[in-house]
Amino acid sequence: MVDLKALTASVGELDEEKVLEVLNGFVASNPSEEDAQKVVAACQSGMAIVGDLYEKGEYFVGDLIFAGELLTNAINTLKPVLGSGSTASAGSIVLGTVAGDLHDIGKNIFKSMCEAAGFTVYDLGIDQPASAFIDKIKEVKPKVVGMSGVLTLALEAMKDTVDAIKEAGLRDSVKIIIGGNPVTKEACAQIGADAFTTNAAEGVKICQGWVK
Amino acid sequence: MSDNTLMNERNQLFIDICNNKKPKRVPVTAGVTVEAAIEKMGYSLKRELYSPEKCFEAADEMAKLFDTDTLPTVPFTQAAVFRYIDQKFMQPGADGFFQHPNIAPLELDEYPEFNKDPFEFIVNKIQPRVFGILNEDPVLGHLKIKIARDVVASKFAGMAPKLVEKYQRATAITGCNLLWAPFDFIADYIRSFSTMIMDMKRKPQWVLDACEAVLQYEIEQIKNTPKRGTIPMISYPLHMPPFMRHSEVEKFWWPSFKKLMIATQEAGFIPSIFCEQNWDAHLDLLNDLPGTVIIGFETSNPKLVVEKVATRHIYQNFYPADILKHGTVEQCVEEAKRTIDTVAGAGNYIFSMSRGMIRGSDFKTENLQAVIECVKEYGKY
Repeated sequence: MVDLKALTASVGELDEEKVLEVLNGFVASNPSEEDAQKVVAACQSGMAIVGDLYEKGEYFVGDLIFAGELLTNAINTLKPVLGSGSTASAGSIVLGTVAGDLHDIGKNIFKSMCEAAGFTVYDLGIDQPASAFIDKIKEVKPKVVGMSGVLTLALEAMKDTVDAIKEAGLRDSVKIIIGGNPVTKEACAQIGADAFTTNAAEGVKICQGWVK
Repeated sequence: MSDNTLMNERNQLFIDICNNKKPKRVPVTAGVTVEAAIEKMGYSLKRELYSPEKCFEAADEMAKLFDTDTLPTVPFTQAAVFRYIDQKFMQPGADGFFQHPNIAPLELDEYPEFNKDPFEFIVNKIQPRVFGILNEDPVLGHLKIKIARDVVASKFAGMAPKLVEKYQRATAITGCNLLWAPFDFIADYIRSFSTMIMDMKRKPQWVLDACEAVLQYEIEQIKNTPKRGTIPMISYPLHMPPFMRHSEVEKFWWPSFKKLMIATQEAGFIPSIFCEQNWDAHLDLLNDLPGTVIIGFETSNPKLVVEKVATRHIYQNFYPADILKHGTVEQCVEEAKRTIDTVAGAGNYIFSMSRGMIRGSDFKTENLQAVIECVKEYGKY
């Protein structure tokens, strides 16, 4: 079995080479699925360290992007020993960049950090109309809806989307978080979202608070 | 012959400030893009952005509304070219507004080939991947692109000088010449923002070599850049450092950029750099730049800038743009006074918003008008 604390620390330090070396050795040792789940949890704890360091100002957006990539590689490495029984999801999130906006870097950071925290994320992609959010909400019944945007006009699209969710009678079944460069407390109130953030790590904590 | 007294007075503000002399008052500029101007007119970007006449009409109206020292809106757009050549870097959203998607036309293992000769690689490999027209017709494609650019430029030719003359705006500085920091150029156009971050961690030497190769490519471009205005300028929007650790900025981003700044000054231009987002972690580096550089700040802490960045440089922007959309006239004016009090004391500040007004809904007309008038009065030295 691997040293889980050391693995968590390596993920937190974004030492990709070391993480993959440890994981490849672990997979080669023909481990049990239970042990594999412990290793996944250790990697997720490492991502939490990354989030904390970002909030403290020691890590930057680039580190978050790299952390997401590192975790994806780690999980892919572990896939052969994870088996079919997946870990219990912390909850589900429907996520997308709203209509008229083609930016997805922030959304993708939030997505990978949510997945690292155990959420199941349904990513709609960019430039998504309200109807795409509504169709997916009906289909997967998420606990959280996340809307992302960089352009100032995204705020109007977010409001249109929230209004459409209300009209469809789905507003009470979901918590809505908005994120991206232009979002503010005032915009959040006007849009009718439950929370806003410009910090992906903080956004994950908000979502975790909702699904407790 | 027209009386250009007002234009001359306005030019003098910029000439003084660029010669490290305190101008009569804080020069005031406002960047209202042609897209924002069109939307302010109630026009559609899907239609009128392709009409040089409507673009001119919108820019004329902005100049009428906003009495800034330079033209608030330059009547020019390459939207028609982007559409015609199917430019993957600039794609319109559902409402017709062009955006820059995060695409990476260079594969990781192609770095060594790119680094040998970026120009050759861009023309032969990158452009066919990002200009759709080259897929359809590779032989005539480049010619078609050149013709399209010339045709569009000819449609807008003379419009800006006409408005400058009519509204007596300064011509001493213009923001027409645009280049990129080498690292940013690669991140924006070659490897994308997010993959560049991976490359830096996984293939550091390739990234360093690419920055040096792009630096040489850009130095060649500087040689071909026309000198416009009394104070010839090249603008550099700076993207990546706010998203990187300081140690990474120092190692990967800064060295080639500093060399580029030196080359810009040696070629007879004053560099005008725009520190996008928050540069608080990297402000000390700016004193490492030789000579005078015009430095715009988006969301950096103004007090920290005054404390850390030498006054031989000229500060620009700072005024928090969002308040123009949400605030009252009184709040906007108070904020303008606060900005001047914080950053204009040494006489090295050009007033402008923290970012350009890119959509019609980004600002209320009366707010921007009040701020401009306030700066002209309150900003007297």
